[in-house]
This record gives sequence, structure tokens and C-alpha cells, in this order.
Amino acid sequence: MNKLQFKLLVGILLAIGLGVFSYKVSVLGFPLVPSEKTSAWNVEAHVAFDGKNSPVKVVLQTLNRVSGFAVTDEFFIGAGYGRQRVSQRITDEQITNEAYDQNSVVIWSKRLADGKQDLIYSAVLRPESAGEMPKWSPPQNIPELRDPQFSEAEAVAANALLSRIGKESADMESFVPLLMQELQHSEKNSNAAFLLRNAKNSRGVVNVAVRLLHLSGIPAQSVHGITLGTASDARISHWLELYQNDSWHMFNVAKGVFSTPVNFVPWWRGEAPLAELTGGKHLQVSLSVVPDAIDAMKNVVDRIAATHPTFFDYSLFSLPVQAQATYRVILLIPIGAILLVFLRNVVGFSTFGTFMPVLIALSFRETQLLWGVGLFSIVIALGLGVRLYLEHLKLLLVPRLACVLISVVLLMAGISVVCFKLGIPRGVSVSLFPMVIMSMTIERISVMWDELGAGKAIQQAVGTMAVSVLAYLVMTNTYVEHLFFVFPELFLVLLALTVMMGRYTGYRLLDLVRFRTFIRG
Amino acid sequence: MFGWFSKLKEQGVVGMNGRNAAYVLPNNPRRLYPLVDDKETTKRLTQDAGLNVPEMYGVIRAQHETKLLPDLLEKHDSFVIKPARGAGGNGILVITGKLGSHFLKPDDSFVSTEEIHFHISNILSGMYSLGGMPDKALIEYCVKFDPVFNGIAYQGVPDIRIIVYKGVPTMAMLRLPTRESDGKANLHQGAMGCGIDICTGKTTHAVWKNENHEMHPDTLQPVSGVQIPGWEELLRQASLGYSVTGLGYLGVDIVLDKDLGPLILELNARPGLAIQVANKTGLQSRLDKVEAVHHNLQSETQRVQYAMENFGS
Repeated sequence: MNKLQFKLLVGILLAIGLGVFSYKVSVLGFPLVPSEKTSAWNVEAHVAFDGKNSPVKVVLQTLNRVSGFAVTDEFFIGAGYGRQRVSQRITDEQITNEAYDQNSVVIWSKRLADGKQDLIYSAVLRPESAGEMPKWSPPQNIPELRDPQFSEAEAVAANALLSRIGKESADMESFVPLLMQELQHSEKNSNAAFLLRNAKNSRGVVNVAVRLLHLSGIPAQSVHGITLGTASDARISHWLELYQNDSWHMFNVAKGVFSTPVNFVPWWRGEAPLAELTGGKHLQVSLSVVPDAIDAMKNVVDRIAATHPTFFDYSLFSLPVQAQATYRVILLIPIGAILLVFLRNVVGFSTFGTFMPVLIALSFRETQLLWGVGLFSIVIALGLGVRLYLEHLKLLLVPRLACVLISVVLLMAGISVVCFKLGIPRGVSVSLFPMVIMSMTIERISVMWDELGAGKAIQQAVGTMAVSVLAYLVMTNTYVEHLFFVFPELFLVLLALTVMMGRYTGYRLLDLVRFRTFIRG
Repeated sequence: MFGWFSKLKEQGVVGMNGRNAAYVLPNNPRRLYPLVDDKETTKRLTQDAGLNVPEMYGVIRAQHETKLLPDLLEKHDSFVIKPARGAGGNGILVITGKLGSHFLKPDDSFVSTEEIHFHISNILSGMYSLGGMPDKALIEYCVKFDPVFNGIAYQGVPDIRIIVYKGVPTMAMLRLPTRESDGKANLHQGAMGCGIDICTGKTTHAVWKNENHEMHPDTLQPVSGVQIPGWEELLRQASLGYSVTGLGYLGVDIVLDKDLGPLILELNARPGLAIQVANKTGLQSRLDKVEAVHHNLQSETQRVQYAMENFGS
């Protein structure tokens, strides 16, 4: 009975999984492999805030005027909200002329809003020339020099700052980086600090920079936008557009260099923030950018939406973009877990903790493989050093674990700062590592070190790392990702395989090594 | 490679998955695990059933109870401190003597009282227990091992591991500590495994680090042909382990004490498979034999009798 039940379960799982899969492939024509060119991007801004039981108004910059891209499928989701689109001048009216580039904003409003409020703006960006990412094109209008409107005290500070930088620089190419450096490290300079006293974030710094550039005679404006890639939490990056000697220059504020933007989509220009809220509190805007799941996919989706409307209502594609991006990651975890089942039960590897390698592999996604392995090894080696020292102090177990955790955080912060100063941006992403996992790993390695000696512990650690790398390679494979996202029914097949592996009672591969005396004899 | 697999199969070697699926899962219901996973429970259980176990001097269950420690240690010259839920011999501290305020370890190094406190608090916070759960520290009699092993053990207590299947002792080995295993009798850590003929209780041949050896690597004494004293009684004790716990697939660890004879140190619901390597024999055929007849074997005496008649090497 038990055996029959087992076979039946495996059979049913395989039949449903493979059945739906082959129906989707052969009848509905879903693509089996991801097509290489991505010609559209889903961009989504999720505005969340708490209402105070009073009228609210939310102003959000929209993507309507993006050069080189056509913006299609714009959606504004907000239950019970009135909505209007307006164009807005880049800076305040007095100092711009009418022909100036304009931002396009959406204004959501509601008479009474209480509790948590969610508004979603989503749009699809398609490059105007098919299949290719548009190159950077300069704005149509050349900014005029305008009065930066500094107060008397501010003007004194600004002039002092500019004259000092002027003396240290030769031309615009050297002047702007120096100016931005002063502003970004304003603690060293009281003039800069005074000018920046109201600038709370990087956008505030950029706005002050624009005013200073106007004061020094360089026509400039700020532009804010996103970099196209796959990210469930995209960030706004800031650039400066400067016009001198009849040409445009683009200055990357984050990196502090002049360069040409790549894959950068300008969202809006000028002083305004991405979103403004009146009548509510705790405003949060999260952005996500996801390549529109492949061209061929889009066609299939459109066709099926027309012919089989209910079928597609219940697929992962019907979820908001941000949830889709999250699911692209979540769906990879079972794949890593199944790989681990195989490596442990069929091959016979032993690792620290059952699913630790999957978690480590997930964190490699943030850092890329080589950096991940390097940073992980460094942090663990240094952490082990700290742990060995703590051994001398004879601390109790839980406080000692906490000490290791604190040291790990400090080590990671230190590594991030050093890497950033050396200009290695990847080093900064170590901060996204799951620290508790790292501390537990250190503790486990050191207990094993005490009990079984250094050799076994290092062997085990290297083994865990190897399994993590393997899991990472499988989990980040684009074909694997595509297959399981487009055909989630394949998880039933994986479930069947896992159930079968759960009943695998034969020898493990490493049993051959263990019992090698029997093979020889 | 499949040739290798079939070679293992021919010789009846039980693999890890096979052990779990065919023996541990069906014969050892989870609810019985606490009986053997907590050594304090095991001790009480076995003691009540008339098995020989090392005397327990005291249990420390909480941090504040370490205050009782000096009193407890005062009374005894040698003792063993171990975690109640430890596995694989981890976290065991053996003290063989005292010198002033310091304690002597088997390898002639010293530990201070403070270090013993630290070790106990590590045990209490679960450093050595499965899953890191809070634990108890047991302080018990330190075995004075039988001189029969004098020539072939190095700084530590040799122990005898017997696999008991449905009450019948099916395979046995002697584990000899070596310099490399740091006095521990664990094959993974470099101890020497030595097969024992169930029929006679004599050691057969030894395997060390997966190689055949005639002699102990440190003392250079031959290890085969050593007669284990009181073998039949020892098998009876092991068989009793099944009657007491109800675990169908059981590993029994026994040490021989100079004065007290065989003492049961530990019962194990998931005994390892290295015993096959030490005996150069697969377990499968013996387990199959037991499977066929165990219904007819009612008492420990019958079970031991059956084992001694059938499982010679």
C-alpha cells in the first residue's frame, strides 16, 4: 500500500507537471529558452505612506518624456484616488523660460485617507530603435544661466568656496569633480557645510551644486533617473548636465567623474523630488526595474490573454512587477535545495548546516561569484581570528556568538569603507550579506576546529563553499531561471524527483571511498 | 563505477541511505530517541534494568549549580565530564588525577578549575548538543581500563562497539585510541578499528585510516588475537540494551573496567557503519539472518546464543 501510494504520488506529480509543461510549450507556444534581446523594460514605482485621516495629495514624477524610449502601458493604481497628469517646469517659474524641458507628473488626491496607503505607477519602456538600447542623447534645450538666489550669507560662503576651488583647478573638467568632492565631504569645509545645511540627501547636494555652478558661470542642470538592469530595488541615480563650449558634458555624481551614461534613463530634471506628499506621513517610494520577460514571451502573453483570458489571470505574469522580481529569486531557492538533496544523499557530501550553502549562494547573487567567495573567505578568516581570541577570555557561548556577530558587522563595515576608498564598488555590497549566517558559520567552524582539528574544519568549510558555488551557478543560470519562472509547473516534476531521491536507499558516491577496502579486497 | 557499486552489494555492505531507510527509520521510532539522546535518562533506565553503567557523581543542570562543583570534585580523584546530549564523543573531558589545585588529563597536561568551569558552561549552553539545545553536564566515574588492552591502547579508553539488531548482537569492534586520535576512540578522528569475532570474543584484524594493519601504530604491539574477558556477559549486556530501550537498530558502547567489568557508556540510535570496515564484512547478510529468526528468540540468553553460533568470522 505504502509503495503503491508512493508510486501513485510520483506518477501524478510527473503527469501534471510534464503535462501542463508540454501543453504550454506545444499548444500555447511558450518559448523554451529566454530570447537574448530584451527590448522592453517594466518600471514600477510603489508609493507607500500612512494617511492621517485628512486630505492627501501625492505628486509623483512620471516617465512621459524619455528621449530614445517610447513609454507604453502606463498604469496608475490607487483605489479611491482622483488623478491628473500635469506638466511641470523644471525649476520655479521665475527663472525658466517657456520653452524649457518640462517634467511630467501625476497628482493623486483624496479627501480622506487613513491608515496605510499604496499607490503604484508602472510603465513599459521600449527603445525607439527596435532591439537596441538608445545611446545617451543630450537635452533639446540649452539651460540659460540664472540667478542662483543665494541669500547674502550664502553668497559669501559660495564665493569663498568657489574661489578656493577655482585656485586649485584649471578648467571645467577639474573644477566640477573638486566642487562635488567638497560638497560630498562637507564636514571638512565650513562654507560647504553652511550651504548644505538644508540638504538632507544626495538630491539636496546636487541641487546646491547646480546653483553653485550657475553662480560660477557654468550652465548646468540636474537629471535624475534609473539604470536599466534587473533589480527589485532600483535606485535613483543623479547626474549633472553641463553645457560649455557648445557641447554637453555629463557628470556622474555617485562616481564623481565625467562620463557618458550607459543604460541610463533620465526620469526627471531639476530640483523636485521623485515624490512629494502633503497630508500624510512616512512616505516611502520603492522602485523596480525588470526586463519585460522576453519578446517572444510578450507575444504569447498577449495572444493568450485574448484567446484564453482566464488561463492567464492565474500566472506569475499577472503579479505586479515588484512581486515578479521577488519571485524570480524565491523560485530559485527550491532549485538550490534540490541540488543540496542530491549532493548530500546521492553523492554524500557533508556541509555546515543543512541549507546553509543555499543561503550563502543567495548572498553571492548580490556580490557576483568571485567577489562573493573572496569577501566571504576574508570575513570568515578574520572572524575566526576574533573567535580564537575570544576563546582566551572564556566567554559563555551565547555572548560569544554575539561578540562574533558584532565583530562580523564591524569587519564588513571596514571592508566596505576600504573598498569604497579604493574605488572598488563591489566591496560595498558585502553589507547585504546575511550576517547571522556568517557568524553561525564561524562558530561552527571553530567548534569543529576544536573537536576534529584544523584539517577537518577547513576541509568542511571548503566543501561548504564548493557546494555554495555550485548552487550559485545553477541558481543564476538564465535558462534555469527562465524555465522555472515561465513554467512553474516544473516544480511538481522537481517535487517528484525529490520524493524519489527521498526513497533512494542505494550507496552514496562517497560510500565508495569509505568502503574502499571492500572494493580492493 | 557501477562495477564498484555491485562489488559493495555483493559483499553485503550497508550504505548510509540503506541504513537510514531500511533499519533506522522502521525500527527506531522517533519517540524513543529521547531515551538514548539524553545520557542521564539512559543511565537511569539502564541502571534500573540491571545493566552496569559508570557511577554518576553529579549532574549540573544550570549555570548557578556550578557552585556545587568544588565540593563534588573534592571527593573524587578521577572523573569524566560529558554533555548529556552530546554526540560523537564531542565535549568529553577526562580527568585522571589531581595535583594541588590543578587537574590532570590523560595526556599529562593540566587544566585549572577555571577551565573546568568554562567547559561546563559551554556544555550547558549547548555547544556540543545536537541542534545547539541547552544541555546538562554529567560528572561520572572515570573508567580504569582493563590491563588486557595495555599494549594496544594509547592514552585513552578503548571501547567496544556492538551493533544490536532486534536484540541480537550482530557485529562488534574494538576501537583503540591512537596518538593521532588524541586519546579518543572515534574512527573518524584517527582511532584504530579492530574487528571482534562474535563467536569467541577474540580480536581479528585491524583497520586504521582505511588500511589494514597488524600492529597498533603507536605501541607497535600486535592487535589481533586478544581475548576480551567476560565476552558472553558482555554480549548479554548489549542485548539488554534492546530490551530496555525498544530500539531495533542500536549501537552499544561498552568499556571494560579493571574492577567493575563491562560498563555501558552509551547507547546510539544511529550507529555508524565503519564497523563493517573494521570487520572487513558487510552487515547485510547478518541483519537478514536476524530478520528471519528474531521472532523465535525470546530471551537475552537465546539471542546471545544465536549470535555466538552464527556470527563467527
